[in-house]
Amino acid sequence: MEAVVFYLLAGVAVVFAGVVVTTRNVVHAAFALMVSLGAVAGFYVLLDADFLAVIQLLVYVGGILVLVLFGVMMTSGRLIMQLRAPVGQLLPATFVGLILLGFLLHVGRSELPNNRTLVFEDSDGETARRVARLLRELGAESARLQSETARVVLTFQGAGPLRPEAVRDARRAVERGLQAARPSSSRLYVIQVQEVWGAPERLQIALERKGTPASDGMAPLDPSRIAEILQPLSPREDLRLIAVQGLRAVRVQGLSEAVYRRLREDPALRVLTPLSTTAGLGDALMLGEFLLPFEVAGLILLVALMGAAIIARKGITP
Amino acid sequence: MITLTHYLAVSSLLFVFGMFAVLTRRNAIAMLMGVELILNAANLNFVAFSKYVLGGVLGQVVGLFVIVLAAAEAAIALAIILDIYQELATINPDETTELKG
Repeated sequence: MEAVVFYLLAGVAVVFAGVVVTTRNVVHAAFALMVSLGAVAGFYVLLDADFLAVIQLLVYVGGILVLVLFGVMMTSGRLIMQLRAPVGQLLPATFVGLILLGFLLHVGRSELPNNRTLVFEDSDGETARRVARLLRELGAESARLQSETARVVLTFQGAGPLRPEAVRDARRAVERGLQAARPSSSRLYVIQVQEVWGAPERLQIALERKGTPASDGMAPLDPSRIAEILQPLSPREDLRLIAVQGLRAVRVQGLSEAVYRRLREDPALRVLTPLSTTAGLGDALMLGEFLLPFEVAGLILLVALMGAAIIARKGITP
Repeated sequence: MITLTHYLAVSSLLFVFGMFAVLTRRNAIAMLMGVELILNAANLNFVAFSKYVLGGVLGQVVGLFVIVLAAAEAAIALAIILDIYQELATINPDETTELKG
């Protein structure tokens, strides 16, 4: 299924990029670019970058392309524009393009070092043993295997069917509770809030941690500790924390491409898919190490827009 | 199964198309579209490497910055193109030789 969607998007993106390059009409080129960039947004969804996909559609398809079309409209004094270059320019460009394409494809095919990572669900402890055995069979002794709690799911019980405000309050209360218990829980964040299907009075909140226990030298996610932190706070009088479940997982690091593929395709192993990366992205941008670059990027955008307004205005006013 | 190599192949093709547009187009706006294709190819690489090699959201953060950069660049470039059109009544880069380029 993933492969079908990928090849569909790849075909659309590449064919319409070709139209952008070859068409004689600059308006057609702009619309083909819109389709091509939309397909790139589809790739972002496949790559678990939901937020980036939305931003791609908003900024490119909604913003930049409208700007480009305005540019076409305001500069099309000569309606039939000579878009194509003479053959004397076309041949060297094709030559350089083909050489670059061959080089890029060659680099893309080369083997990466053994640094693939996989995380499997492991509810019964059986998966860890199975993965260890498979790694021995495949001769991948250098891979590091680690059992951890990858996700904690909190279940709240209300008196009756939950209203949206109650759900929002519960989320806020959990976030405040985790913040108050710093630093032991400072790297935990709420990754999903969802109602339980078939039980309208229940609410589940999933927590994940930023980074891996191995990389930041912290103690693994501990469900009983989280229950201890969150037990005293009830978001509302009628909402109680009734269960804290930890989702056990096995993290395997340092895999080569071949072993990675073999493990991924094993039918007995379930890959733990991330719920969403949007929360992590927001965390990195607003609270984490990218706050300053984020502000600087915003400032650059503001200065660029003011500069654009001044440059364009100068030509119009008498 | 889709691997990193597949994404790198697609982004290589987009990059080469973009570069081809920048090299051969005789309209500044069409050249700008080529630049957008190049930036998107680079961005696709960032996000693909982020998922398949690095893990985490680092590649997505960089990708977000690239989109911001592309927006700023498009705004400035189009303002300059409009200004050139007001002055010279053409946006063919071969004819805009005021700076003896």
